[in-house]
Amino acid sequence: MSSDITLVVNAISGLAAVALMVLGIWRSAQIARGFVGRVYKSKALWMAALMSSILLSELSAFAQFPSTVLGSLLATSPLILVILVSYAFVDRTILVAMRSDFFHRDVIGWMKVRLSGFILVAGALCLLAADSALVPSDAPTTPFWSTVAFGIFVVVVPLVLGYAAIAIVISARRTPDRTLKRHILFLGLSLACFAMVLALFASPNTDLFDYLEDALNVGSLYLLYRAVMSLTILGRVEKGGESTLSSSVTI
Amino acid sequence: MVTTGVPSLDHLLGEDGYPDKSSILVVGPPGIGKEVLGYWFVRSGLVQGDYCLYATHRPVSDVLRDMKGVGISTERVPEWISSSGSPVKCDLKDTTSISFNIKEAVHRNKDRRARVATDLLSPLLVLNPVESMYSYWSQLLSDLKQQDLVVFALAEDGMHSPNTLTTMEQLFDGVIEMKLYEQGIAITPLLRVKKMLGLPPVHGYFRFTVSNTAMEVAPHVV
Repeated sequence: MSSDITLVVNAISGLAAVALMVLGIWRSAQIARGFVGRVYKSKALWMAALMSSILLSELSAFAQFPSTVLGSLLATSPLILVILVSYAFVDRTILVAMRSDFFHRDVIGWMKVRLSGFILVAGALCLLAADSALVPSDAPTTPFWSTVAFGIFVVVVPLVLGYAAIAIVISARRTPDRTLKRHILFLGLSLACFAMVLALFASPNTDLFDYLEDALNVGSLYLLYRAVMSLTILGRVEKGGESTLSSSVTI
Repeated sequence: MVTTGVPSLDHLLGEDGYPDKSSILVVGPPGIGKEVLGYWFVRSGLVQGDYCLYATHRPVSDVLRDMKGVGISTERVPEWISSSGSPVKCDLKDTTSISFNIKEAVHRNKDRRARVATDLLSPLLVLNPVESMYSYWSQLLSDLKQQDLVVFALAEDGMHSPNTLTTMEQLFDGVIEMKLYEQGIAITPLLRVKKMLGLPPVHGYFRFTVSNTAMEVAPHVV
């Protein structure tokens, strides 16, 4: 009974995540088309890319992969892609926020640690990939190195992403642009939830932790969707607002 | 009248562009393309032999790269007051020197028609109390308009409270708003002339497109 409820909760949260991401990709593509400024256009496109990778990851949960090295790698690759794109996107967002700060201040030494952070994340992801490829999920015993590799992954990646989340929230406080501030704040909160989801990978396999992971995952994606919708101020066309210009000229 | 640099916008404003001795404010969220209107305005002035001044909180190299990106030749450039890359520096903490430098540069060229484009309004509004900025811009615009010149200023929507923007809009003779609008599931960039000196209210929204060769304004069907 309990496992049935868990399955239903998992399915509902998976579907909610897919729906949020499809809507988010559509919205960010539309917003990107409307932007002229390269920085903001590329930001909207990055959002679309990030959400596409999350969508891929969410959809892969519904797929069956063969129990081979390649199959295991394929099953893990969407998560690796999401983490890499998230890191790159967050890095870019902090740079945009620093640029929008009139005094161009560094955020908790981000310019110094961003490369080291990337190396740590990439290293932890390589360990995760090796672990999932070389140790079958149905193996009767887990080798010690596999436990260590997984341990490094669930500690290093959430820590680095957590640091990035703090940097992003601080950069949100510094930017004078209130729209960007709101956008970055949503992004930082979403990243913090995502880091907690990754940290929960190491939690005991109980229903309670499953529900918590699902709730944090959907919460993280909802905050990401809110981040897309706060990329810019959206107006509403008033009724009867037909334009009066009779023709247009191109130069 | 002073051409906007975008013929379709001139047409929308009654064929000739911005009124003489006027101050124009373009309001919109970051990234929407407000600066592009300023670039075409300056470029049109340079072509016509007007004295053009661009006062910005950004480095000159950034502005030039943006200009090239929207298809504006940088063979002829305006005089700069900027954070870097120009002989006259823009220090956002020193509002007096900004005002003095702008007036001094314009005064040196008082025998020519002048165009002043600036993106300094928003940063200065963020860094200073609204009341003092109201007086500051009111004085600066009134001093500048003693000469034959048009001031073109940009304001970031979303960076200030709506009340602050409305207050600042009162200082300008013309206000153009650029924004992304939601219509059903579509999101479209539209432009609106909120007010323009000597022009009856221009109703409705106008689609605008910016490519790497041109800017176009066309009627938008609601």
